Amino acid sequence: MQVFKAFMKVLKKKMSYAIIYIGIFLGIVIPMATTQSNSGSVKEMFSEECKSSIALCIFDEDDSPESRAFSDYLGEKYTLKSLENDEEVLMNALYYFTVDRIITINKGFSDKLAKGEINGIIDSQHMHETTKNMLLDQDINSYFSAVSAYVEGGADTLSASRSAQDALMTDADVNAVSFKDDANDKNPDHFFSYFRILPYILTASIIGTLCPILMIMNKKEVRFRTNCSSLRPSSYTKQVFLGSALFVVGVWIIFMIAAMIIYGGIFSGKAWLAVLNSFIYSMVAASIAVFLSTFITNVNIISFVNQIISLGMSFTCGVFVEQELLSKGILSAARFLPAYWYIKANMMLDGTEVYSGTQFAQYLAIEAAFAAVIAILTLVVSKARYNSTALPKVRKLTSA
Amino acid sequence: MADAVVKINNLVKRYGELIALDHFSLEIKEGEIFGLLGPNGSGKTTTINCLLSLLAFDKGEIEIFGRNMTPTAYDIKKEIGIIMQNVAVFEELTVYENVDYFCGLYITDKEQRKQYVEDAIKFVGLEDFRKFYPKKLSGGLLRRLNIACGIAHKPKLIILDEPTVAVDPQSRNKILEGIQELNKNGATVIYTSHYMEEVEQICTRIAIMDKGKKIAEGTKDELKRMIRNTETVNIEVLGLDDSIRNEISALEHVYDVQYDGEKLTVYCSGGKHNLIRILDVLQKHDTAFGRVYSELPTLNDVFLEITGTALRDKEE
Repeated sequence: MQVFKAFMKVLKKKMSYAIIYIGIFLGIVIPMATTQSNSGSVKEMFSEECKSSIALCIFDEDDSPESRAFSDYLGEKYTLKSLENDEEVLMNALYYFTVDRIITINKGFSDKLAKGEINGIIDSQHMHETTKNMLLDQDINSYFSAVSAYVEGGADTLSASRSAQDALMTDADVNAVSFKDDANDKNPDHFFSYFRILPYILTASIIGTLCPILMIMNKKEVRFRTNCSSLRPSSYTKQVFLGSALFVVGVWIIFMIAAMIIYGGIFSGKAWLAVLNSFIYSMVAASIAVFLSTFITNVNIISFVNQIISLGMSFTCGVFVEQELLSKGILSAARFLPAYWYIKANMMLDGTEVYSGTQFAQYLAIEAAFAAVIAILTLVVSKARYNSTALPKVRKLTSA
Repeated sequence: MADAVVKINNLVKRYGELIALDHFSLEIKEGEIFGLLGPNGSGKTTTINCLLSLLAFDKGEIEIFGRNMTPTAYDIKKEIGIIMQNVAVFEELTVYENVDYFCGLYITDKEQRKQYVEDAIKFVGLEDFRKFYPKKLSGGLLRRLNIACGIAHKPKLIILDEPTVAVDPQSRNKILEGIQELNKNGATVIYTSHYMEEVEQICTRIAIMDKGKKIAEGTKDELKRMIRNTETVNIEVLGLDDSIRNEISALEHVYDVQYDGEKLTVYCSGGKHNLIRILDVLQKHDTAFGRVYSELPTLNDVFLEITGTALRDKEE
């Protein structure tokens, strides 16, 4: 096992690269997991708690029943704050988020509302383009649309205002629909996001570490001396394979353990499918690393190629940006990359797509096929290189 | 008579149109330090690669230790040590680990290997550098490590392919002494080089190669006897008359005289006191001369006379 031992010694020397990648990844993922579990979902964004946290300051210059009805409506839904009507005070309040919006109900509000004129009936000031302000705009527009509708229907402006308020204060019972059909799935919401990012880090750390090691093991002079020895080539290959497999599986296990620690405990339900998916992808990354090491001889080039492959594949296949947000053209091209199929499989698990066992198995099979094709390519390239460099070429010797 | 360790018979190796080895035959006996001498591209390394079954050849036979050499002849490979021109070690392993790795490719017994590794490190004088990484070693020490990696398993046949290229004179001498010591310890050595002085210094028998062919073979004395030149007399002299040159040319045993206006070179074949007789001619004509020296023929002269080109000219 001399070759295996040497492999492990070289790995020890080159491990820093993988450790850096693993460290950076965990450094990003752990805070992400923590913050995501506390806030941020769309469901939460539309919650009453969120709405009530929007602070408003209203100056009613019209002081009519209609304007008071409008103020009451906003007061019901949002937090009203009183401020001194001074330009500097108001600007400071907006700047420091004391209030999100300052609304001035202009004189003639009720008259214009009766005529169905909405433009210029209020002045609105805000400083930051936030989601809260966007929601507030939608809400105000909805209110005026509803009032206008009631007025056009024959109601007077005051009763129209009250009817609009009643209608808009009624909450529809809305549920966010997900294709996640496993009722027993106890995996946290962001569990699959972790697995979505995994291809990048697996590709980068495996190529970045394994490639240089294989290049060292296959260095022309060293390989020449090894080939001269009594060690059988098959034994050499087995030992290098064993070392590579140990490294790849080791890196993969680290990420699985990290997932368990971050998301609390042993995997359950479909999480095991995500684990299987990531394992197969690790094999793909390993095959890419072995392939690159057969023809690239410069470590700096490996580093460059590694960035192109890992980042390129991540950006085009939906690792960093969800596939739904990518253009059709990019996705068409990404179909020829293994990470695309990994993400497709992961999308079934996180509920973005309807889960189908057969389809999921197909995605995994495509990933495995990528690994197999790359492995065959590696054999072809290494054989061609082997023949072109005056290294062992066995031919039956004949004496004519 | 010692047994033949290596037998190469009628070896032909072509690279497309180029014939790298042209019906090359050789026999190396046990206990020899056999020199393969020739300019770059003469076929030395191709011969070694064929010998090690690292390169397929088109025609011929190779036997090592009386057995046919094939890529799968692992029992033969076990007895061969190889030291190439380029240092073949792992930068990431220490001196000890490197020697242990290459020794371990042949020796599986842990205790035996440990002893062999220690012996090899001691042999090349790297005892104080066991834990050093190759990049911390000087060029000479690195070459010694390269040798230790090639001989640690105590092979019966050691092949050294230009091991002293780009090595300082001190390290070169150490390496050459080491090779002689390995030979004394029982190893048969094949030494390829284009440095004729080295080959002359250590090899018991020499084959001179050119254009893939063996052009001469024998001990250094046998090779030198193959040529006409036995002595070359060099005299620094200015303004030498043609008549004096003709008189020197007419001397017995002188077969060629060359004069470049500053130095007179006289080539002699056999005979004694050639130098005295040449100087007598100069004194007779009251011709002043400066430095005088006489050279015995070298392997370069052998190569020159056989091929018509100096070995060193070929290097350029």
